[in-house]
Amino acid sequence: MNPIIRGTVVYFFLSLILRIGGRRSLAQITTFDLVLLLIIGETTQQALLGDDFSLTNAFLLIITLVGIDVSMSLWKQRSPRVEKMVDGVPLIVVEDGCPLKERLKKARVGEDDILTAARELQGLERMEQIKYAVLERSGGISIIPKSDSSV
Amino acid sequence: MADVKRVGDLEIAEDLPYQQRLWAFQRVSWVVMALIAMGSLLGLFGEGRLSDRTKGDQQNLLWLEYEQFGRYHSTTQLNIHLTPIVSTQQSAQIWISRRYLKGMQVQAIVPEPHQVVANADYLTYYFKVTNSQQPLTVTIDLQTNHIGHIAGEVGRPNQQPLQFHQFIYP
Repeated sequence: MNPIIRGTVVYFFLSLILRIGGRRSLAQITTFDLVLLLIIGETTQQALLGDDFSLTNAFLLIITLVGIDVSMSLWKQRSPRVEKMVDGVPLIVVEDGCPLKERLKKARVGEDDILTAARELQGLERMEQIKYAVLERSGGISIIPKSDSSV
Repeated sequence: MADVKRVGDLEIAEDLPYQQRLWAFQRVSWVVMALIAMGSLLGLFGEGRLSDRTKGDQQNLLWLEYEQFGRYHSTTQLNIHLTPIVSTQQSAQIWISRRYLKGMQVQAIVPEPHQVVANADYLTYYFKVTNSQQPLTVTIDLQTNHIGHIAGEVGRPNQQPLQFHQFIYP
């Protein structure tokens, strides 16, 4: 099969699968998740290259993958809808010290993950010190602490 | 740029209805993935009950076992069963359509034919047999070299040939 077609199919399949898998917060990445990602990479590589180990094949694939990535970023810039589809949207998960439980459950993020992020990023001690916690598009959790006067 | 709006004190491109739809889509997709995995275990993509096929009556002089589904560049097996014809010949012969062999690369034939004769449409394989009263099974290991539907035809002299169809996933 043509490497351009193979590259395109793999690109869109992977982006769809990662979308479906959902964004686990980056703070949650365990050693096992890392190994899993490596295995996924290895598996994909076999299908991408086939039994064609030529430089031409590799170049064509790289050009395809980078090309699609650039085109997608240009498209995302023009269309907010596409941007949402590809990157998702940020989600507020803690508001004024109150965890929004329904959202956390659906996003499969635990309160302890938020507290971990709060400790690591802001040195906070308790949930009530958090003004906002946002599950970002990247999968990380960002924390906005309450200003000193209000704690 | 996504639409940034004000939520409390935050300027954020949050979109709850979209997020809800995305979660719903994710849940549906999980079910689809589970179904695909189950289908795969059953043989929807080769190697399983859904994939195993036979062609021809086992009472007949010729019948086949093959896999309905295969995957590109992987191996599949074709079993050709020959029931004995009363004859004094020390040789059994079968032919396979060349169109089929174009999409499938023969890796091994067991038992090995002692002679292969080619004509425009068919390759005819001759096998030595010590006792033509006994059934003979010829196993052919094939590597798929074609994507999509592929039709094969197998026959033996003076018999109605058997046609079979396979689907090869990319």
